[in-house]
Amino acid sequence: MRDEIEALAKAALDALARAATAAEVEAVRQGCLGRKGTLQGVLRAIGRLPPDQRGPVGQAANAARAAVEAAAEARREALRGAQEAALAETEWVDATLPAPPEPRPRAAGTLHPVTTLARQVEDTFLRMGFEVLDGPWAEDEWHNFTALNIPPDHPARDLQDTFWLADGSLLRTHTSPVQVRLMENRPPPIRAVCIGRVFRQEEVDATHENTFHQVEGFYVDREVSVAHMLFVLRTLLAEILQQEVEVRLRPSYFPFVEPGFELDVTFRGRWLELLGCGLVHPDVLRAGGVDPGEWSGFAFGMGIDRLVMLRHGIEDIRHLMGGDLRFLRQFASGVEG
Amino acid sequence: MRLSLRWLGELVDLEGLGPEEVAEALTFHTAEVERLERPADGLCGVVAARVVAVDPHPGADSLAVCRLDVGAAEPVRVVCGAPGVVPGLLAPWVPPGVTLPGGQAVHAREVRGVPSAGLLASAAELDLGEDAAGLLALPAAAVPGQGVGAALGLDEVVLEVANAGLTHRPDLWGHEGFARELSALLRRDRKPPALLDLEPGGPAAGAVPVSVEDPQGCRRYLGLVCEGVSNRPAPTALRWRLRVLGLRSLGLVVDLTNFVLLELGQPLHAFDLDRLEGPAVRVRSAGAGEAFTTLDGVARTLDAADLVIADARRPLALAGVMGGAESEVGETTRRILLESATFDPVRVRRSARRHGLRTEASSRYEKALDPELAPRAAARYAHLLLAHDPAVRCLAPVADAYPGPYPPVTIRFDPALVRRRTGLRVPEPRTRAVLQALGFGLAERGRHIEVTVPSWRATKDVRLPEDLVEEVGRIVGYGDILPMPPVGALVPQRTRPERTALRALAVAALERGYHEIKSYSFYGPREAEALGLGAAGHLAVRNPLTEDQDRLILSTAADLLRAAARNQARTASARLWEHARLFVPRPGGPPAEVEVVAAGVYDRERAADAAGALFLSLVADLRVWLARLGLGGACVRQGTGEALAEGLPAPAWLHPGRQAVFEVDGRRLAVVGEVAPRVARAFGVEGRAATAELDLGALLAARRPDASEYRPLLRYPVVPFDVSVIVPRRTPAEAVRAALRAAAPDQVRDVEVFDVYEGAGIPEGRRSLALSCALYDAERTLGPAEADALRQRMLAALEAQGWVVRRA
Repeated sequence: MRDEIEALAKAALDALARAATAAEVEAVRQGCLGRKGTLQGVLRAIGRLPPDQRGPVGQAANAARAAVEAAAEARREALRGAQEAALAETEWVDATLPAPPEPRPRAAGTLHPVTTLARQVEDTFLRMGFEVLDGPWAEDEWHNFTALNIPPDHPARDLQDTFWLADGSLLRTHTSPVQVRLMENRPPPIRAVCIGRVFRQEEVDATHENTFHQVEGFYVDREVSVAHMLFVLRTLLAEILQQEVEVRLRPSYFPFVEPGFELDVTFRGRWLELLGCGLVHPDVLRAGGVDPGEWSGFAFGMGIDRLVMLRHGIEDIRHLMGGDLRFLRQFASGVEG
Repeated sequence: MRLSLRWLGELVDLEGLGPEEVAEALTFHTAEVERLERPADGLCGVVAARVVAVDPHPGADSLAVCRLDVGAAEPVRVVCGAPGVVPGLLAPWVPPGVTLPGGQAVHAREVRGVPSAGLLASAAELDLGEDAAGLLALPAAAVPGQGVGAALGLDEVVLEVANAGLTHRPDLWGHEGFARELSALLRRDRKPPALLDLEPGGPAAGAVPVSVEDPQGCRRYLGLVCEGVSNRPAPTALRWRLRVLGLRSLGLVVDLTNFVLLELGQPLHAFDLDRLEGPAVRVRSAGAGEAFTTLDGVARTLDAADLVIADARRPLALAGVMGGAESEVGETTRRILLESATFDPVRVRRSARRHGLRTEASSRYEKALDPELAPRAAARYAHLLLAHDPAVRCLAPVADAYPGPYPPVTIRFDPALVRRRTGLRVPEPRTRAVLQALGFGLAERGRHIEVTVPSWRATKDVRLPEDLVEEVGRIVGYGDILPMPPVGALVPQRTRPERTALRALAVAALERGYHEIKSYSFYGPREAEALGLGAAGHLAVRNPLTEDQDRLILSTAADLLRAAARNQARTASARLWEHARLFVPRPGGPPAEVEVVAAGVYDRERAADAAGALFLSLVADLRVWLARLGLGGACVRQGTGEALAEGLPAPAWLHPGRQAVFEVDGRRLAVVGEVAPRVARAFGVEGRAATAELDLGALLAARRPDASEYRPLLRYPVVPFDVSVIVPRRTPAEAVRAALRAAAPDQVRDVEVFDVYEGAGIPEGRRSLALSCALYDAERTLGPAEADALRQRMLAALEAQGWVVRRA
């Protein structure tokens, strides 16, 4: 009986080796292992053997079964590989040909709501004489922390959960490193705004993302005061919210400004905590090679994503990175091109 | 940071001020009060009752019928099963109709035939503790009928201050600091806490000598010996105060250390002196591998970076973080050594992190505490301990090792700076008054003031004139600042070329029906593998949140395929684009970032696509995008696995026969291709998909802003004609167009392919292309003979390539 099993298996393996398509592979497999397959018939006969022979024969049958299954899978894989390799020949398309005509005209696309708001911010600042730029997303520790008056072992590092990279650099936790890069690259006066992506090592849920967007404003000139900052921020927010707004300052702490504030703005009848700001800390000016005796400035940082969510009443921050067309298609308006 | 309003009122005069007013003053001048909490709110209606009589229940041995004085004319009867209920006991009574904090409504009912008007409650039932067995015993001062909240001293308000706003303020981690702020803010008098005079100086007889062997780790160490102590339960009022602020009660000796911690912000630790060996105490670095079991019962292995308090034999405490189990104060403790010390903020912070032990003490030490606070805290503790337990004897003077006093901080300050920096017009006398109220010392130096920073702000918080501006500004209040437009040089700002290019590309994307997506800058091994980039040199994230985001991306293809898989069930085909960065690792430091615009199309229903229509439509769209940037003349050629830019991997995810590369002057601008079926399958994408990446930096470099693609309008007639040519199958159509153009460069205006054919009638391995050409001369009308000569020259050029022209 074991000879019979081996013969059946060998026949199946030979047939598999000759199989030229996935369908043929499956046919051979079924013919051997299927409910009415050759090997299956033998297996049914095992029950009628004397008990002392059942063990060895059963083992042989199982081994044969496994061998046929493995060979079938290997053959399928080989055929798939050959097919892929053949694609270069069988499906070759001349890339320099014009595209065939399309049956339907295309509907217009949409801009991501974060992009739309970021542009609005960008345009407002450009009109106010600010330069718009961005810096690296993968930063070094100096620009993201130390130069911003957050030395190693400073408790403020706890406030920003950081993604560290294998090469010792990090994903920037805020757009503030751009302040330092600006000062390194040119002398004041500086009027600049950075709009870009930032990262925090935080579990993602309906209200927390590990990837989001910030606007960073930076203004350095002679005799800059909180009153100037207040004017610029009030103007900016009135433009973004497209209404007259009231703003108020509360003392707060950010290591890279002194004094530091939270700014609240009136929105839909209540005070909304919107951004952190302050006068650039003399140590930060110094880190950027700017003499704090001669120059002063203000800086602020604001999250864009939360503002987008407020504006549209978006209920879950994960939609922003979700790539779901049901979400994206709703933002056809507000696109200025 | 939780603050008891009543406690604040004991330290500064708050007479006549409501909780909201205090909270608002702090929010607008010091730090944000996030929440007001009224711990007694959940106890509304629950009152103190005195047990007058306890009678057995006729139907159950385990129950008793209690007659209660609840302050009303008539006593009430309540059935109670708690042990230890005796006449005279004061306990909380929950009348019928009142709902317990856990949500259970209490009703009048019969318990085994005896009517019961409400119930007597345990601590657990009132959410005031863990004890569920016995009744909650109220203090003896409680009056029947009095609200339980009031009887326990819970009828007050807790202010929850946002900790982030206190990171820089070592002085605001206790009530006294806030009392100081409120005093300056509201111009109210402070009520300094009572201290016991401990006469600093040499140690008293019987004092435990202390030595600081590692002055880098410890600026000051005071050891106060108290004899005759007993760690019995603290009085109810003290226990409740700690509880409301979030600390457990562990007996009088320990509770008072926590009381002083919350009051002054100075961590204290009590050692059981009789369990010390030596008994001299040393502050030293731990030995590498030294074993130590902390109070929480965890056995820890220390290293030389840890600072410990040790006796002659072993560590007693991990300095500034947690005490040790072996010297813990317990019921048998009769003599203690009280530690009031100032440890180095960085040492404590690192130890706390390394051992995963963030404690009330460590979070204060890491803010750089004032060493001058240490003796005051010890004196306050001694005063409180004696007040609660007159049998105690404190051995004064105390042992005081003070190797590291901070140097005094003085700042040359021009009061006019307040206005220059804030825009606030603060009269100089007011500036002086504010600084003085906050404890700053002032001395006149001509136009300037020499300001001496008080010790509690001098550890690192205040050191610059700008810091003083903030002090004055916040106390005076920022509400009066009038916004003023800044004045500056009227120089035009450069706009970033990337920005202009991105906007132009976005316009093209919108017109061509692409939806913008945003995607993560990371992916994981599964997706990298699926793209065929398993072996590519990705930059790893050292502390990823999930395995699926453990490396930075080297391709946007995963973003587009993921989105396709997500949307295909509802939307059979769509076009997507995104602006992203790819991260190429670089030796020695942050990776190179390749800024790309990526596009993707998918079509679930296009399983067979013999003509490559999806791929060719994306190629055509890319031409439109490039034309938007003035790069319409970029040449496209068959791709053979080229990477988009240096350092990026070859596009292993692309179909080997359906790839294109856009180039200008040999500079690669974009790589586009159909996604290989195996890759689409791995992402669960059905049908066909194609992706493209444009290198934004290369686009900008290739652009010639002054070059124009304008061609003058036609002034003379065009002579059109068609060409049909049979070429080897792999000869690109572009080669045929180029050959036609090159034959008469000045007269060939347009050449377009309008048909491709292979099959019957065409030799194996060849195909036929049909092209329409337009001849034109900018100077004159082409005559028929001239046009025909040009045509013949063009056809001959094709034949010269070895191609077969089908002449009509």
